[in-house]
Amino acid sequence: MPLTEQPDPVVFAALRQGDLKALDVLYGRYSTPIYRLALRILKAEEEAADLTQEVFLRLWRTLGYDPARGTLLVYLMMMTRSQALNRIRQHQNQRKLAERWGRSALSLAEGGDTSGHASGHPGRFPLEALSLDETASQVRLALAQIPQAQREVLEMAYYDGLSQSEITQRLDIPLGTVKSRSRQGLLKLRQLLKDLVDSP
Amino acid sequence: MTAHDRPNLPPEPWPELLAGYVLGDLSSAERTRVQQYLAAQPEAQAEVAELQATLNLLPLSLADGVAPPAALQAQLLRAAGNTTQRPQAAAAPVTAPVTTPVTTPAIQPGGPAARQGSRAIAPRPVWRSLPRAVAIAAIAAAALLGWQNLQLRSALQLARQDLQFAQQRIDHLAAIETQLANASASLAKYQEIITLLRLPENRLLALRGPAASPKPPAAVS
Repeated sequence: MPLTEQPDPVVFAALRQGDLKALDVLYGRYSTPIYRLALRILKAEEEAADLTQEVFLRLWRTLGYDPARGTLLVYLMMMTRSQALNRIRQHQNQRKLAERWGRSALSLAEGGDTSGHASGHPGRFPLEALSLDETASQVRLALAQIPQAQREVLEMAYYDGLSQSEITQRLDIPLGTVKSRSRQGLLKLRQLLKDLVDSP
Repeated sequence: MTAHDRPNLPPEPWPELLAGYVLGDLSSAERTRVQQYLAAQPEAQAEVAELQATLNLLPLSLADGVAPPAALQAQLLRAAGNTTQRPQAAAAPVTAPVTTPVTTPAIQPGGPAARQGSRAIAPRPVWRSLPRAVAIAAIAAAALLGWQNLQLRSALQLARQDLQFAQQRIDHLAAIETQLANASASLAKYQEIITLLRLPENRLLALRGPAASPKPPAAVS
């Protein structure tokens, strides 16, 4: 079977062996969501492209991903977010403490086979762009189902790296409200995306 | 220890607390309770991982139709071709110093300290009429301290996360180090053998008693 049709763990194993083709394949699979996230956070195309390259180069150089601990997609998203927020922090001093989840996220990325929609099939991974697209539309659907107010705080925290108290100030609502909205939003999303994130 | 160990206390709202843990909005007391809970409950760890994964699927909802520039792929492959892989040892994408695995995160945030410095020398225009200036400075200092306190606390939380991450890295590195030690031990052995084989007398492959070994070098010279 050609590398392009292999599941992520197999491709990553090839990457480990120094196979540039494997990097090429993974780029084909994940560069778009990575770039979109980078662009959403950094709000500048050139920087987003630069960060996209950095994320892949880092994956190549450090091989820091551990397939036993979760899917590559989630790992790459966490890396991207954390590094994008790092850049923002470097740019904007007053917001530099914003990154709340990135690091702990990396360390906690264990468990969940966030992949196959067939939750009962461990070892199935979102391989091709097609299944990534399916995943994306499920996420959109789920987001559309949670209250706008919950979505708002979740997105402010995730993309802008704002702390809960910063969100409190921006939206002029009590801290308790921010907390309960974001927690409820996350729990609801988790419920809606159960099939995607359930551990096998 | 934790509240859930003591049946007479009301049960903790674990789902909310776990969500808060993932979102980073817990008080330090709450965080400690959650950490204890997680240590005792493997299935709660899985729950945290799933919440984490959920959160990181969010960006998949971002606008369709946006894609990285076409040239980036070739550029990346060129760059990767020129980059040697340095597994794990070089992995630590952590900004906090990895070298201090102590559980006192107070020494961690180098950033905030630097920031404090730059803030402290912010220009103060009212500097001539001393008493008033002093009062203003005092107020400013108080405000500054409050602000810094807030910042330091966030920094501390971040540093804790860094630390947790760094400690995992260290464990990993320790494992690698052991492997490395083993490997270089066997390497040393092989090298010894190679040296032996390279001796001019190497046709005598049969093992000889120790009495014989000091001789050959002498014989060579």
